Amino acid sequence: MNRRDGFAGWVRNLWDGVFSTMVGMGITIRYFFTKPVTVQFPEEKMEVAPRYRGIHYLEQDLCIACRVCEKACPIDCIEIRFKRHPGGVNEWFEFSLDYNKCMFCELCCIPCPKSCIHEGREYSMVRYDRSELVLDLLTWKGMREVDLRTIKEAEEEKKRKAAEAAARRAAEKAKKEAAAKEGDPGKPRKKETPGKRDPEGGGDER
Amino acid sequence: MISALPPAAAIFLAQGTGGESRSLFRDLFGAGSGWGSFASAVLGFAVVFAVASALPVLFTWAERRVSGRMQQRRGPNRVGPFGLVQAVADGVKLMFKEDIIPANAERFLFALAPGLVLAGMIAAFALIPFSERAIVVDAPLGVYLLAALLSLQVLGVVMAGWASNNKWSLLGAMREAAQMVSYEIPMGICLLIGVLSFSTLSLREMSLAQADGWLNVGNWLIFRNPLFAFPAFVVLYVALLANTKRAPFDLPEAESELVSGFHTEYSGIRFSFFFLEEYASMFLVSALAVCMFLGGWNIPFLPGSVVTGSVGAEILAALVLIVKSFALVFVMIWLRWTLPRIRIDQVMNLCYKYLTPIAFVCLIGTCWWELR
Repeated sequence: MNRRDGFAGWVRNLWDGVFSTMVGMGITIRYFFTKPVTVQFPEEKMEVAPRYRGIHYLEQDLCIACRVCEKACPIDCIEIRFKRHPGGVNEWFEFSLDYNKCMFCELCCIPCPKSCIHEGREYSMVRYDRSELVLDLLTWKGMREVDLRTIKEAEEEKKRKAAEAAARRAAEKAKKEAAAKEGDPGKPRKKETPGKRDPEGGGDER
Repeated sequence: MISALPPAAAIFLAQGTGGESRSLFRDLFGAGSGWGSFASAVLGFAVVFAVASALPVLFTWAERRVSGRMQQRRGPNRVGPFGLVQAVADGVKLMFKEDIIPANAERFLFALAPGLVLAGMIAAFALIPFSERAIVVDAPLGVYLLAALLSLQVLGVVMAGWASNNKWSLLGAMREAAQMVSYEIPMGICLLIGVLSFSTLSLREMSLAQADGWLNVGNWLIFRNPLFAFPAFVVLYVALLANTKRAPFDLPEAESELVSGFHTEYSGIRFSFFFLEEYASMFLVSALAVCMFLGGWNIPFLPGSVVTGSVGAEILAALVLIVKSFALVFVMIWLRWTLPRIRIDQVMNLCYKYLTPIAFVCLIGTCWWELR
């Protein structure tokens, strides 16, 4: 312990007081000239970890509407509605996630056969109402021009095939008739199934 | 409104004491005649009131920005450019808050106290010489009057603490009284050093006496008499810090112990009076220290004779005084965010065992220096 009495102690105290104040002021002024570390939240955002599990995003072009994610979700927060059109085109109505429920377990992303649903790095979900927390992940709804073209092409293809089949059938029929005339009936042909079934709400094709 | 009357009266009365004093306002209305001095008192009060109300707006912003930067934050930056209008928004908020008077409070004193505190501070502004002629009242007893008006705060604070009927308020007020009465001793002695160096009590004449010299700073008191006036300046600064209840001497409000000290029970506009007083008096005491020790309005490195006379020179001089005072205010803010609050026994220790003896040594040393 320092002895702090007498005049020497007085001077020492005074020196300590002045000196320590100077040291402290040096520290504060040094911080005064450093950059603030504040992140201005709504405008700026902090970088999150690379594997952060935030709000989902969907690569809609890749999605084949297999509904695996919907089934994998342990709390049923994914809602998918679509209609399948000829040419393998899906007309999208809804691919929504209820973030009131979602717990960001990433179980929807793991089984996806096309790896087209991901948990992104966006985390801010401030809304005024609970209903606003049901986010639709579709960037485009319904169909795009390219899809319409595909459907049209697919239908034309179908028509062309049907016409071909009809022509073939007609030819076969004519051949059969010719053969029948010759007294040789052919085997009856099995009728070809038409394109695809298209139930509302999509079909599971396993 | 109550608060407006005392400073106006003080300015009017102080003008009466000015024998051959010169000021812009008196020149404007013709000194001497009764109505002229009344009109100049009214105008002077208006100017002083405007300055005293505008400064806290700037200083609360500065305080919050500086403290923010010292803590690696940004401070207020939303209201207006760089958050400059934040204090105005806060003021408007305070005006709309409920004005609560506690049930068992001494109503009259409770209402009077904030007005008194603010009044003393505003009246003191009239005595600051911003330039050779931009001074509302050039009282021959300026320093004396200023010290008296500074100690008027104690009265208001003790009144507030007593009238609130609250233990925290009373404790805060008692601390304030003890602190102020103690720190007036070193403060008074240091002011005396300035007075005997320039053999005048008028702040204007002190500033005039500090003109010219080596590089135009040689005649500043801290350079003219560096051995004794510089420590005296430091002692005065610490004492003034204690007088304005700024950290580390903010024991009267000591929020970790006394909730909010003497203004615990105050809310709304009454609270804002105490708030205004604190921030305006930061400038006031800094200006006092500048006028006495740092050459007042004199521009460093620029001979006074070059720029005297014109209106532009007066404005430049006023700006110089304001810049010097702002520098001292910045140091106050800087200190506040550096040092923790000291204990009441340490406050007394510092005053009676350190500042007062040093001030006395400086006083005696200055006597020797001036007689040399």
